Amino acid sequence: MHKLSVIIITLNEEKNIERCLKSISIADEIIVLDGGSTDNTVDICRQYTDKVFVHTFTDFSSQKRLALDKCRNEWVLSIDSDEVIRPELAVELEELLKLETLYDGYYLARRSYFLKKWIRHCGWYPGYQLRLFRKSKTNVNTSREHEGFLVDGLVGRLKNDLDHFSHPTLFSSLQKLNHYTTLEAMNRIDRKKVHWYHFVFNPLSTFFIKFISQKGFREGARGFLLSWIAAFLKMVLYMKIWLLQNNKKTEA
Amino acid sequence: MSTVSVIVITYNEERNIDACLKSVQWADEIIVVDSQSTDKTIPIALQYTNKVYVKEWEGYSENKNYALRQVSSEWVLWIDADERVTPELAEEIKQRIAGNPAENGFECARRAFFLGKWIRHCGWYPGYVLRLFRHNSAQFNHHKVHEGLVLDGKHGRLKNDLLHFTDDSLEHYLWKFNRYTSFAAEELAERGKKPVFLNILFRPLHAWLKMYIFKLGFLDGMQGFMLCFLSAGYVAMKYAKLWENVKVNNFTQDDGGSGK
Repeated sequence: MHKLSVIIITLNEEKNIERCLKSISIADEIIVLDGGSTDNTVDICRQYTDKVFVHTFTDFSSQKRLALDKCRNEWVLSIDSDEVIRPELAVELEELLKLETLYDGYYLARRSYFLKKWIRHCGWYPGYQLRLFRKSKTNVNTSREHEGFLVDGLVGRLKNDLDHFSHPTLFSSLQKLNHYTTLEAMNRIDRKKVHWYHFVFNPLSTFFIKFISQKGFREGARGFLLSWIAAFLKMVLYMKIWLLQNNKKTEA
Repeated sequence: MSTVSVIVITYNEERNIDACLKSVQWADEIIVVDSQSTDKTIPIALQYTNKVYVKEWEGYSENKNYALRQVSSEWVLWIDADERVTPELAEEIKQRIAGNPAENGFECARRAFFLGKWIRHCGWYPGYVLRLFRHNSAQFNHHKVHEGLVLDGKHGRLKNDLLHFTDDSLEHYLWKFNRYTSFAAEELAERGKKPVFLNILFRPLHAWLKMYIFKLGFLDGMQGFMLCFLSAGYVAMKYAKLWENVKVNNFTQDDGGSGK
């Protein structure tokens, strides 16, 4: 049987991290790379593994690179602190590691929890994530918006979903998306010039894509809220780009 | 002699406090009540006054009333850290109170600098605020977001504007937006407001029409355009969070605030 290393990068995740760590008992080795948490994250992690490393956070890809370098095993599973491996997925992983597979990496479908329900539309699902791979065949993607892993070889996908507890409250969603749109706006500053109609028509189109094309209406009120918030944040994103392009302030 | 004390309550305002206190240096007394800032707010404030009180955060009205109790002048001018008193306004204040007026308080228009532009419509301006009052004639009342001042007696109006440097970045605006909509939604839930889903649709539309059309927001250029849409989003988010409090988290009137 192949041995498995699990890597987690953290930064102030005391609310989530224990739920995550508890779900990965299949790991032969757990590597935590903390970005300098000021809460109890590190202490909690030390109860589950002695391989907790601290490196001041600069960006996701460098943190992931460092964590990957620490792994002793060929097979690596990367998981975020707000994610959980359910028993069904754990069994599937175990079975897989018994085999001599031709694959070099596997994608996992990820279902996300929004206001206490699993969302299966709005473009959130399946949202395949490359999370299980051979260390020797893998590199870290350095693009700022889409940090992740790149496998050079044959990839497959797993049957069971990864559970993602990303949006416990509207408050936390907005907080996260506010930060994310700022980063994204800085990436897009040199692209096409933003005009007022981008504030209106692009969000509208986001709303209709999420709510109609991606069947958000089947999620009821949550689907509506989700589509609406996505549209609102799209508007915010274009406003932030406009502010940067028109030099209204150094930060968006 | 008519004397004026300025009261400011602060929390991590190192970006604002210097310019704010500089604009009220003419006052007879400056009182800063700080809620245990972790940045340079306190040392900066100490350059302008030796009356900096550090006090645990108990809410806007509690901290402001605490500041009021430290006042030793006849008149009180309350300003926020992101506000500035222009020399013209300062002169007007001094003149008005020197005449020992019949009024117990004065309000003034507040002009906001939003994302690089002075907003002159949108229902934001003039937006009169009561900020100057005779000591012991007013108290701050309890309200989670927009704490108000309750004045005994009549109040007059000043001619000059108070300047409000509200949001220099959209990220900061949204950070406040997020906190305030949560407070506001809790307050709605506490008052027993039922979450009607259509409110999430129609109230923002109403807010937008009011600000952009009726209050002439279209005259404020791109920033006015943005402000009206963002404000509509504010209203929608408030009702969405009310829906979340009640329908998702089963908030009831008696558990006061488990919502968030």
